[in-house]
Amino acid sequence: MPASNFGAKFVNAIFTVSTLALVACGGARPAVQQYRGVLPIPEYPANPSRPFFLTDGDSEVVFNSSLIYWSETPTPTQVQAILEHTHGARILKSNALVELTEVVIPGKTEVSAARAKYEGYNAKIIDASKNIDKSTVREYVGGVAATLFDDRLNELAASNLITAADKVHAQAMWPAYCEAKLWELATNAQLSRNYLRRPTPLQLCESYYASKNYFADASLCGSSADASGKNYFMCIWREGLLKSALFADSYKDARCTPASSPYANRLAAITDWLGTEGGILKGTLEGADAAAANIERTILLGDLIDRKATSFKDCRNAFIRKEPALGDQAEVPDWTLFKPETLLQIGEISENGSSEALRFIPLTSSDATNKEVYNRLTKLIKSFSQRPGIAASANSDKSKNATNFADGGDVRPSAEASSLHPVPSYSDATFNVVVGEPLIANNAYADTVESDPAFAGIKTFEPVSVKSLKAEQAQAFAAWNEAVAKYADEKAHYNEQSKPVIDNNRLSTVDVVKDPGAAVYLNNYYMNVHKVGGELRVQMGFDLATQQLFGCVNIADGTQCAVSSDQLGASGIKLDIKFDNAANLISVKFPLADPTALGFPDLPRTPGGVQFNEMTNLKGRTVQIDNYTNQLPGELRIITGNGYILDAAGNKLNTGSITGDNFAQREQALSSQQ
Amino acid sequence: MRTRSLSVRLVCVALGMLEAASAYAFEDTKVLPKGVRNLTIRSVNTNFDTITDPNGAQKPLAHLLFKDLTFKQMANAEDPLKGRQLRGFLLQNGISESESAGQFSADIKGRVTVTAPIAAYGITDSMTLAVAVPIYNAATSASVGFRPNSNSTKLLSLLSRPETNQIANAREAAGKLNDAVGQLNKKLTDNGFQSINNWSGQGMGDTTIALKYRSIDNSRMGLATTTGVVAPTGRRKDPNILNDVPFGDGVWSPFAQVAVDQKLPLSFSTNQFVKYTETLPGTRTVRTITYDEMVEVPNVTLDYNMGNKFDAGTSLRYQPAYGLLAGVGYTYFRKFGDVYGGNLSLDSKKALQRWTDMQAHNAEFLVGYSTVQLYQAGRADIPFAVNVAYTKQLASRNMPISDLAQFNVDLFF
Repeated sequence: MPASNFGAKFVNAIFTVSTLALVACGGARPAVQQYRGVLPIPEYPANPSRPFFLTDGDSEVVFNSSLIYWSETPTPTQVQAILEHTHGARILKSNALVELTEVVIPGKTEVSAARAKYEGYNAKIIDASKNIDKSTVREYVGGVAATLFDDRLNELAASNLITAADKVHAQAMWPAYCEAKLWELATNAQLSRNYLRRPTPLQLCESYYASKNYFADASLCGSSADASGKNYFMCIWREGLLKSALFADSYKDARCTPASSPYANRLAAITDWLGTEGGILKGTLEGADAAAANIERTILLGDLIDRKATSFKDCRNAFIRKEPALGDQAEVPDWTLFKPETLLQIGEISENGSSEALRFIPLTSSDATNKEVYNRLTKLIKSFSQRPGIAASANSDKSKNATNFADGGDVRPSAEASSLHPVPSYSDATFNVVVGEPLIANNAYADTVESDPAFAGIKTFEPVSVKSLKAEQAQAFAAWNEAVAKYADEKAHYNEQSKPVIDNNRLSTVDVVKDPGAAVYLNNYYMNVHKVGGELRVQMGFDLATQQLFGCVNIADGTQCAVSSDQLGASGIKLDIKFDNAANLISVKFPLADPTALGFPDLPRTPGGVQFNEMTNLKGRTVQIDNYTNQLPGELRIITGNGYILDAAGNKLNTGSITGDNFAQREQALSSQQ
Repeated sequence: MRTRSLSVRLVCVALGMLEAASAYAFEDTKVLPKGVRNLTIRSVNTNFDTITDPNGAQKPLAHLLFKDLTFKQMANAEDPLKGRQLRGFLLQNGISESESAGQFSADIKGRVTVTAPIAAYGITDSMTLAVAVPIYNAATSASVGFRPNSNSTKLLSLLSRPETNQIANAREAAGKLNDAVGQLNKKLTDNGFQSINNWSGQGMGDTTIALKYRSIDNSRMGLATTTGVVAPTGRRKDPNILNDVPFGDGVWSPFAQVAVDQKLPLSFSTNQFVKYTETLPGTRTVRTITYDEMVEVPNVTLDYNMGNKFDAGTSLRYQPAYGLLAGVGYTYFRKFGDVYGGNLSLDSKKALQRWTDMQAHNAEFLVGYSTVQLYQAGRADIPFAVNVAYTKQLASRNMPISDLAQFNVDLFF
């Protein structure tokens, strides 16, 4: 090997090769840049113009809330159960408020509108009825009514619905009812009105009253010569009640009590009270205090004499009757011993026929027979005997229709779901001709008479315009009735189904919270947030606490504002409070200088207990609660968030969760509208 | 995420490179004449971004990073109470913890260059001693992404709906999901790993010392045996760097090889060889990974038996007197599975030993020029050879798909 030039060539070659090798050593090719997805960041439901969902017009919200501090190791199943409860409760409450605002309250509005429409026909019907010859109508109805009771008994007997003995019994008892109706009218506040003609206690009884020579004094009971009418109070009392069989000798001669009474007997007392113009009796019945007057009326009918000290205290037993026991229904009792109120039940026989009054007019035990008799007899009696003011209080039927439904608020169809019926007009418009305003008959029973074959001719008196208006009004009534029924259903659904299941979303109602391992603390607190100008004033307090917490924060910058000493009082504690308008977050802190006074006492969990606290050494710690708010349909406002127990250095020793809402506040406000 | 498995795959790359540097289809039975010295500069380059699985299917090198982020993993990443609250919330809303919130994706590309000076000396006319000291230059680039799916949107929607009002938590969750890669890297660094980023390294590989003895050399054939050892002078795998490329096995590995040449007419010749490398037991520091958890696991030093290796190949060469070099060849490589010992759970052993049994079938092509015959005939001043070889992987199992380009310069003096 020629070594002379080998070395240089060799070194040169090595250098070349090494250079080539190193040049080949570059970096790795760049990796393909991988996609990194970006999820949108959820936004807080914040509106700068509505800090914590409050405005100057809607400035205060009250949350009922619960706070738990978790144990270190709650199971996911326990967490799930708690979350399901709180979430479910919020949904239920929100739905309930939506139901109230979107269904129940509009339902009530619908009722009011339907009622207004219905009542709008009254003036039209009155106007259209001006030309009706009412005296002709009265004569027609009076002619039919004079013999109607006997006619109906004959029909019932002919149909074998009642026996001959039943018929005799009924005829024997019929005067009792007529007498009771007389007493009823005598104690009716409407006697204070003026009438053109004597009002009748019951048109069906007029032939009986005539047979007893009642209302015979023309000066008292004759028709009014004056177009403005006259008052028939003294007519009904002197020519009616005082002559009546119920005002029997044994009754009127009974001595008054107390023994110091200036009256020798009841007759003397009543005569004195009555005077020449009605005296204290009339004044009492037409007194401004309707409730008191109603009691007096009840007293006069023979009951409740000891219930209230009345104007008649000088002879407190003046109207008391000790009724005998009813014997066999086949007997005809001495009905003069019974209270008029009891006798009035003869006309109140219902389809079910369970009243003791059945014993006055004997019926069989067959329901079918009872119903038939009801249809033919008692219902017709009621159509004549229903009287405004009496009907409303006597009728306790709560079935859902416009004529009977009375369920609070201003919807009282039972008293007002009645119509003007100038033609036909029965016990009122026909015979109780009132000056100045029409009497009101009960619409439901008007139909009974109108459909009764005995009164088939009555419609011939109606002008076409009135018939047409009445037909339209009937439709309006049906619509009102339907609206009331719908509203009743809606309200019942809310009250009976929606509201009961809501209960309360406070965590104290969740059993799992009290299970070992889930939580170490449970208590409820309220938080009241009040927007006052540019400030949010917060007040809160825990169950079992004796000290309340107060704070104030400026909305604009989240800095704290002063809490007045008046507000704090002697035992109030000032909250360290922050407000984050962007997050709708109110964060509060307070030191546990006295844990017991602030709602953090040592409190072991008990099976029936609501609160418990198994955290120890709390004195000197700080509680922090972050309250995030939100709003659900129905304007249910909620707060959720975390709670912490902090040590002096701010370390989180315990972590908790809160849940709360303003359901109670909101529901109360809405319920006042339904 | 099964990040630890990525490092296993990159070890494979290094091993493949190492083998490529030492096992070569164009073996022969030639030895240096007594007193003659030879220096071979072998440079091997490869780029890789794919790998084969146990069934031989091709996958991206980073395919193990294509993993779902499950709600369970999200819950585990939270503090214990918050994790339980998240699990309770998932239960409340009928979402399984095993459901995915999104999927990670990744791309990793690597490049390795090995420059190996191989010095040889003819002890006798039939025995040559050689020493090879490879120098590694390696780099990997990495990009990791995360694509949240509809479950993520659903979770955020459920948290932020008014009746739930967990908007602060929803915002926190959205932030974490949007920064899932950052969260992953944080988890890695919290557990002592380096975050997944570009990486590069340079250093010496394992040193090979070999003694070749030619026992037959006549006009028809030649036969030579080579014995030697691979010394663990290269840098071992760093268990805390997921995309690290190690430069050595870390164990002593004696080997033996037999090669046979057949001399054919018209300057053709063939060669066959077999080689067996016995890796001696050693220790290795690894993460005690399992199939389920590959990040929050400690480093431990374990007894380790790297799988032995078997190489075989055949080639046909054409080498006329004027100096041309050309050839085609085939090689087979097999590395048996690793075995870990020591106090290690069965799950961890299985996870560590997975995918360590490797094999490859390669086709090789060679072209070059040699002055050796011309020099011997007095027609050249310097005896040298230059060749370029290309190794094409035909099939493999648990191997990176890394076709190799080799550049060899042989100098004799």
